[in-house]
Amino acid sequence: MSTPRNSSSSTPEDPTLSGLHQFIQDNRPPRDATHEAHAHKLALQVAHNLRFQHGWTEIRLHYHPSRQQATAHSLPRPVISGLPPQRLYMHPDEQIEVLQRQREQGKAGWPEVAPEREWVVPSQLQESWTLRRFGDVFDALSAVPAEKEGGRLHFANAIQLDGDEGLEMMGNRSGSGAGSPFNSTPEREGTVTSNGNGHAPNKWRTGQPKRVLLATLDDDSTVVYYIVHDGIVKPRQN
Amino acid sequence: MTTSTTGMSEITVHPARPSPATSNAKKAGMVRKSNRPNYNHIHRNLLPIETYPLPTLIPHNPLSILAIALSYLAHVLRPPTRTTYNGYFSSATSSIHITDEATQRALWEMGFFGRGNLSRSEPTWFENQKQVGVTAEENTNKRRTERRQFKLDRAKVEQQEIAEQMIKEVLGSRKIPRSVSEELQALIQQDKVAREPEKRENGHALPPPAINIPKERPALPPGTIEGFDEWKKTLDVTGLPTPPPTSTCSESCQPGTRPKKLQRQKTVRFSPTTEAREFDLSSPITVPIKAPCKTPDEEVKVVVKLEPVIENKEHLQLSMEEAFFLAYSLGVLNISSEHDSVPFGITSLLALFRRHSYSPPRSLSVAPQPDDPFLLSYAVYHHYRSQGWVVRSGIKFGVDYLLYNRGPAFSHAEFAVIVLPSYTDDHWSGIEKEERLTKTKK
Repeated sequence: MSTPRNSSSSTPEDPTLSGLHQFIQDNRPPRDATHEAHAHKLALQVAHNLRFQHGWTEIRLHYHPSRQQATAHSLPRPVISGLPPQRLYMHPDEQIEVLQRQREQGKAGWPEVAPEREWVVPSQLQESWTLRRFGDVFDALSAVPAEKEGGRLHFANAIQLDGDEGLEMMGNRSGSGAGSPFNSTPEREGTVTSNGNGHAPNKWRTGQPKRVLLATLDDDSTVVYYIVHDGIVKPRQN
Repeated sequence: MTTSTTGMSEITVHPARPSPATSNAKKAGMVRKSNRPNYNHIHRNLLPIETYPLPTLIPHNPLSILAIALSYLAHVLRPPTRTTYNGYFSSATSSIHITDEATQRALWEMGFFGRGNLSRSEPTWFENQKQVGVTAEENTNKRRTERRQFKLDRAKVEQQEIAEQMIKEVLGSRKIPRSVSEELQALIQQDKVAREPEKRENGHALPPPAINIPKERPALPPGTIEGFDEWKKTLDVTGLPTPPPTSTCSESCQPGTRPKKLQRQKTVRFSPTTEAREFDLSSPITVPIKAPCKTPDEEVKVVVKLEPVIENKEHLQLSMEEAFFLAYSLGVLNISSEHDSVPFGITSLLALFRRHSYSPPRSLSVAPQPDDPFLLSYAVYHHYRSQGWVVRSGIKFGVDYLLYNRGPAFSHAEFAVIVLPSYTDDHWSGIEKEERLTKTKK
């Protein structure tokens, strides 16, 4: 409101809350999550940014470690997993393979690669990350979020974000339909859409060190994303 | 004003008006084309304050002195009301949110304060959602796509050269049966032939991607995009921003066709029916549903019936230093809490910001320290702002602040600032001694 204010005049109305604010208010953490509220809010902000600025789909919040390949017994902070609109990272050897395949098929232009689900670890600019913290995070995550094999597509605590309802309710609802880890068929219909390879995970994903996206949030709502690997990887050409 | 070809540019181009490169060249002396916004005019005020200059003094004319005295008295007795803006402090995000559109424009144009929540810097998300024309983000994406394609082609060429080299070495070094060597030579020939048509193809400028592909690695099938022409026609006819034909399911809708990969504009919703759900104003977030594959005509029908009203999900977010500068140094911003609209006083605002400069924010019980991060960063911010620099956040470059001469719209940043506090005052050595004493006691 850019109208000049006099001291004696009208009472201004309550501020209209922004979309992000309402989003944070609408999504309360589930009761069994042990993380503090601050980490949860950080994760929600990053998820909001992913969804609206970058167009990610199928965004889920995880509060517990992965069922497969996780050696830690707790997740130090809520972690997001989602599907980016395009592939984010291609290993240089994979690129060679893809180009070779493309050449055999005689095509030109951009190769057809399916986007892969990625982990996103939210953090704040003030935080200092040590190797131990990174190690804890990597220990608690699997190589590929929500794998397609064996029906373990959804973790029972991974909840899809919805605007109206709190996370707990969504968790229950999706748990009955598609969230149960033991019920494979409905999940497959629901989520196989994202993986163009069908049900076999990409060998470049499982053979290489795990990777996450470290999302760092600043006070003025800038989020910068960095790819972090759990070990040494062959560098890509600039 | 020139636009850089790398993606690191901080220059914003107004989304509503595409900018051909020639308009700048013709500017000198001729009528300005309406394509480029006039940044000099838009950003004519350097700060959101109003100044009232006194009339000029003409020493030999006593009437001018009278004029000056009268105008001065008028200002003293009846000061003009100052334009103030309102925002609220959101403790969840440790920042100040501005949700009013007019205030957002005013604060951005007069001094480049704040950052659009869902944009690169200027709050353009809402406009990008509404139109599918040429926006600033799309320009950047186009450049990035071209650069990626170039890198891919370069990688391809390099690989082929490596393969050829290896074959040549095999041929040259060892003695191998003739048949094998002939085969290998045939392979080399084949490669060369195969490369020729590719080169010819890549010789033209990139087949203009029909849809600008956002972000990292697009998957554009060679050739045209199926269904794009129909979509374009429907767009022209209805004028509504329907999403381009994409398929969100990897099993393709029509069994015969090759599954199309996800091609999305950054600015348009990915799911065809998300628009249909947008107008449910009670839910700010729509569920990313997997839409059944529809033809573009069907989609258009749905959209036309229901006339989606897109809600502006973006707000202008001010960092604490910017907000404190506006509130304390300039006095044009009233910051209230998120629950009511009673503005904070300056001292309580300072205490609040000091606590929130830690992550997670400190509670009231902890005493404020002289080296709270907020104090350090605010001192620097105030210093450079008072000298006339436009100070912006430097997280994208790994620094604390970026200093611009006039603003991001005019040129790149002149300087990048990293704040290194020096604890040389005696106060700190005193504290260190105390801590050492307490440690030895324990």
